[in-house]
Amino acid sequence: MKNQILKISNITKSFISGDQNTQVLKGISFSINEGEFVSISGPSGCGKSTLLNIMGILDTPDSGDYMIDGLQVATMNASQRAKVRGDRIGFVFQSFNLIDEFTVLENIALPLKYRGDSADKRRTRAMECLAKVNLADKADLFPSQLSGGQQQRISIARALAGNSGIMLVDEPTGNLDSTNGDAVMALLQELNKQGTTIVLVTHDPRYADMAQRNIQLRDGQIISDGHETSNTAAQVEVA
Amino acid sequence: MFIKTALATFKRAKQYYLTTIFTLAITLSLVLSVVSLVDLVFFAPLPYSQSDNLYVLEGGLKTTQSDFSGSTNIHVTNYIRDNNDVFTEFASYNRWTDAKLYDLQQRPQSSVILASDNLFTLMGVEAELGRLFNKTETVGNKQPSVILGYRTWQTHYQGDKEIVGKKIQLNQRRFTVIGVAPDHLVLPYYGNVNDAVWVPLDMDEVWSAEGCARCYSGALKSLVRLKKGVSVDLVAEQMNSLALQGAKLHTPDMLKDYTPTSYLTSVRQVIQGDSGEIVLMLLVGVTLLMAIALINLSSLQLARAMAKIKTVAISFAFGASNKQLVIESLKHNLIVIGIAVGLALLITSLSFSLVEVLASGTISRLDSIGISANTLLFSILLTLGIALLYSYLELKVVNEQNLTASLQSSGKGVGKQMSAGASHWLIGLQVTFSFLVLIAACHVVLYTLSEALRDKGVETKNKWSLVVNYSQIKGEDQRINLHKSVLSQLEKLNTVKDVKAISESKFPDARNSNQVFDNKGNYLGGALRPRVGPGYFSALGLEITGSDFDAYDHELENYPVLINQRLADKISSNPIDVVGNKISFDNKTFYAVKGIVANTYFPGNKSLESIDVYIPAEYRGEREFSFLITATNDDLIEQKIRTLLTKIDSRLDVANLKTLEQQFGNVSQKHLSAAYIAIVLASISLLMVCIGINGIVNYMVQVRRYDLGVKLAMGADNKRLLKDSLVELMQPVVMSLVFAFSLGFMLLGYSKIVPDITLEPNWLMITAIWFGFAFLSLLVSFIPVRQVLAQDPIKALRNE
Repeated sequence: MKNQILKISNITKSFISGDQNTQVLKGISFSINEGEFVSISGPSGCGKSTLLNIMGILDTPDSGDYMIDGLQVATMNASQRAKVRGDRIGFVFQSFNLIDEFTVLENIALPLKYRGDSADKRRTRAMECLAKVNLADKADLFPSQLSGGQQQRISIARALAGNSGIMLVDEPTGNLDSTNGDAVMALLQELNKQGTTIVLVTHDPRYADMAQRNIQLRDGQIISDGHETSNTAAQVEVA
Repeated sequence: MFIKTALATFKRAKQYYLTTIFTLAITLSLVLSVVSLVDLVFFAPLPYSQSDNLYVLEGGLKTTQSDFSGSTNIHVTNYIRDNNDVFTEFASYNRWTDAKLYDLQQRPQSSVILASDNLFTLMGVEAELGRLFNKTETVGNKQPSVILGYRTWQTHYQGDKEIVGKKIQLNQRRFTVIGVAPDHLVLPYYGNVNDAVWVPLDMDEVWSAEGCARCYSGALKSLVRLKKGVSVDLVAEQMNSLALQGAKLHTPDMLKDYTPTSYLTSVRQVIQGDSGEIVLMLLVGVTLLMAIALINLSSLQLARAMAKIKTVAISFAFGASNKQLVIESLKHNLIVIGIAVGLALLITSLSFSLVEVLASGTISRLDSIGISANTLLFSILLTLGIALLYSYLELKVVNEQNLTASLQSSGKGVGKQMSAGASHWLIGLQVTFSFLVLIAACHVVLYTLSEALRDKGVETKNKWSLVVNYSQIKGEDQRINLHKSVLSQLEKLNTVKDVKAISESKFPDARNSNQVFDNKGNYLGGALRPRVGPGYFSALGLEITGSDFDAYDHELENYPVLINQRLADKISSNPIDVVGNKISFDNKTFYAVKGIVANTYFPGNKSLESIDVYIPAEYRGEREFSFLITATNDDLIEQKIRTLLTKIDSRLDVANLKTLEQQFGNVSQKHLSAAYIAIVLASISLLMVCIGINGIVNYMVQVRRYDLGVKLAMGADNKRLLKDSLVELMQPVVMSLVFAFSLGFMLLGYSKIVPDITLEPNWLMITAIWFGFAFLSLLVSFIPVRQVLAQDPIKALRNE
């Protein structure tokens, strides 16, 4: 029996824009177990990214419960939330969001720095993660010296670095061509096989189907939550 | 790794770092220089022990109409010393005539201080080498001991450690060096005395503070310490009483016309003088400048914060707590500000020699100025304060909404823009402060330059002022003969066209004032009374209304006098009523006014523009006499004059030899320097506000590229966009100029009701600056807008 790593209960979220109050999430509930590969898909504006931000404790819901590793997020203060972000969550962004002034190694070591790890420990761990994404020779380069695909892999390595319980991946292939996109997805699958829990937000149904489970959102509600997708063992072929 | 990251960070924002560091370094160096002055004037300990109980005792002579404060007689002073019951210690000193160090080949001139045997003991200072005066140097001992001032020892004797016991020659007299005074010594009213030599007071009849037994002079001062429990008010009462008693005993003649007084002033007050006010005013000025710089840089900082928000957001997303973000920001800013402050300290320490030159005579103890512990502490606090301010600005824009939004891929950059209100405020503040600083600086420039360049009223080209000291020549007759020889020999020098003699030059060391009354006995003022022969004034190009002296006027018992225009104006506005009228120095003997001499002006020192009465007289054997020499352009004339005098008699001493241009130049130098400083300050202020406005406008138009692109897509042309952007940007500039103008007006109005403040604004200049400022703001706004339009804002719509 796999451990429950994340539980969301009846989450709502709305945004105020001018006079209008738009409810983006209307009572979302689901849970994720350790080692799962879950994709969240749906049309634009259905609330996928908002949901991911809430799961990444980058945003707070208007109501509902969110527990991560048995911890109730709503009762946490700012420092505790920061600690959870650093220790238990790894985020991968569509636009990579690497820091241009830092080298590749320093970017990967970022969560470890805020955790208070020593410089040696940070370096060692960052090199390990870099090796996992097959970019060990790029350690001293700057992000601007890498291709889009390479930058995204660095971003994934950074998400891995904190030994986080869960990796939240927001449209990782959105800024990549199909070849690089496939390569990134293959990497995510490989990491999942190695035990990393992954939640993927994507527009692309092909990539959504690569996950073991697909949650479909529409108008702020879950319309389906399949525990097995039709292509459970679908693998992407990397050229 | 840290250096690599630091370099990468620097490369990505070169303009920001260079602008921040150099703007802060220059501004802070001004602030730190003034802080060093503040520290020197207000906080630096005086070089005496127990300086809180140290006072200067001075005398004075009062009449019903005037007050000759500072005048004292040595016998009266000694009487007070011997008959008081309020002082524990009492020592005197007297600035004597400068002497030449004849033992040295160049015969450099040195100031001479006559000091009582207990002066150094009272001050509580120790000798640098050897010993200082003690009982051995008691009055009448005739021990020719001398103490070298520290700088004299260093400069002229190369810090010779074996100097004690050696002999030196001051003018014609040999002295034995008994010691070297400590460095940074300062005497109330005489300032820095490190260049002086010290001789015992009343060593003998020549080296004596007496002058004449019944004379009063301003040179003699005394330092005293009060007994415990004695109040300054009690002392004041006793001093006046003792001064009167002393005068009755020693100078009874003076009591017919004068009432002697005596008073105490604390040493700190005397040494501080007016410099406290001046330094505080400077501090206000540079603080304003620093405020402008910080506002300028704050706008840069805000813009940078907007650009850095993504980095902060990423750190936030990966576990950085608020505390960690603050510490990271603070560390970065401390390094940047620390570099700027370090550079500022370096510039400040290099500028001290310039400060010494500019402020000498206004602020004492400048040779002690340096980066003190207080200044260092201030710089550390300043670094912390500015770093905190910058961190606050940087993190002010951070909130969860901004952070989350900036992590999303978005061409518009939601949440990245500085609000229009904030940017308008920043522009407004900069313009207001800069405008006020500019107005103030321009007025200073106008005043100081117009003062420095004011007409002197005399011809100075190819004119030399020579003062010959005859004090080594014994006997009146011998002195008179030598004087005649000097006069005739000078006239024979081949490049000398004319020589005129006068008892004191236009720039005498001491200005002895004499009372002047009109023919009705009304007091007109205290006048100089130089004795001069005919032709002196025409040699200076000064016109005379009436007649100059005749060759034999000096032989008349009831000789005529010449007066200057200032004195004539006090008698009557009509010169016909003045020439032939009579004046008196004692309301008993009256002298006819033969002519009115045009005024001489002293740009830079109006206190020298006194009323003058000229007496026809030849040299009668005085200690010093002056010559006005008209020569052709000759680089060697100075050497020729010195050689001639030595040839006539080696005992003759050149007390002073300068061109008139040099003498007038020295007086106006401070005003010129002040003008240059004001120009620099105004330029810096203007430059900073231009950089600031340009920076904000640059940022504002860059982040609005998307909006500009939309407008272009909707049919607007570049010209229309340029116009609309400039109109929007100039609004805060114009409003703040109006506000600054009103503020200035209000301050001017306030100054009218405060009697001590006199502000005379030049409205034409203020208006010109107003329009010039507006135009400049328009120009620095135009450039970035034009640049952005040239980059094709439609590209922003395509996320390019």
